[in-house]
Amino acid sequence: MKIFSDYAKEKLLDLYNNHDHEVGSELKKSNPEKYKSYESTDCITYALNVISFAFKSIGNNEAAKRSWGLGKHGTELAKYLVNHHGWKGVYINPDVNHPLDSDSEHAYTSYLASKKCEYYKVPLEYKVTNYAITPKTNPAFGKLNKSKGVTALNTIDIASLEFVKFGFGVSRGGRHTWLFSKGKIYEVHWDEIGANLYESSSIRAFPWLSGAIVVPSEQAALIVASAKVKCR
Amino acid sequence: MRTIIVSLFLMALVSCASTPPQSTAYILEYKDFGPPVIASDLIGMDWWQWQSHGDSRPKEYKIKVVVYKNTELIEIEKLYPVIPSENQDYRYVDYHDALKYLDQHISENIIEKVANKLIDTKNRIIRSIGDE
Repeated sequence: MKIFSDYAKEKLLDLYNNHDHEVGSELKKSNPEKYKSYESTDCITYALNVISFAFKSIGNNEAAKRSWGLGKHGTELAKYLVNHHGWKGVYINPDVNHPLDSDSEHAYTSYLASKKCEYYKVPLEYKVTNYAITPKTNPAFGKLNKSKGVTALNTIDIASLEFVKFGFGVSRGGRHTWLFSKGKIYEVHWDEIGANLYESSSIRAFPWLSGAIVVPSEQAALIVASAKVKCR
Repeated sequence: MRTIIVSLFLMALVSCASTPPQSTAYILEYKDFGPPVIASDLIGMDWWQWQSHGDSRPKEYKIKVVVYKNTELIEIEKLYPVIPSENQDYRYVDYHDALKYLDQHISENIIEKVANKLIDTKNRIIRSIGDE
């Protein structure tokens, strides 16, 4: 019997592979006449299309409707999935000490994830970090934390996260949202059409660096216990 | 004539002494308030306020923050309006709220580089629109 994650992954891939009818929302806004026959999409619309489809497929039309209502803000949707559907929050950050963009956002969110078990008020159950270490030779190394040495690599936690079939992700407090499946990030670019509208990449090389993924509870069971955070 | 000149000079002195600091607002950048994970509680998210989310690729949004005191918010909004068509995005923060926020995060000192940035922001605000 198929469950939420099966339907979600099915729809995620369907849209990723078949989107000739769609155009990025900002591109459409820039020339409505040219793109009038296309359906508008963007990062959060992709997530909502998939999540609402999966909720409907398991017979929960109410949740599908509610998701669309909240979906304007990625963190609101993430909180709803955790607080009302038992999903689990996973904080991600490839290198908590030496982010590739030298932005303090990543180290600060890591600190708060450990201290409060929250990412922009999205409750967290797991913390998967330090899976793509910035080497000493990289110009970004030491720019944020001069005194810290090379971060210890942790490949165990990320390897278990890569078994997860489906998740909904937010970066930089919801500035960007995306979908996750088996170690890959699936996203939409709102200023594109055709082959560049959708993109998939490895979570280990995702340029947004830190963020959070919320995953259905049965998927969270695949993540190793060493990644659990304890604040409460 | 000499009396008039002296009187005018004295009046000017009195006038200077009683005039409040001229500057009642100071403009800063979003990043002067630290990373979005803390700054968003005070000044909102770090993308255009008229959009529900931002670009799918990391980029910097030129968001300005107006710290004001001794004036009404409505006056500040008129002086520094938000104009989406021109990508003009201002956030408004009361002087006391700004200092309270800065003091709190400076004392927490989670990341030295961030704390130093916030100290600098606080000093610039005080230099510009005064201490209380």
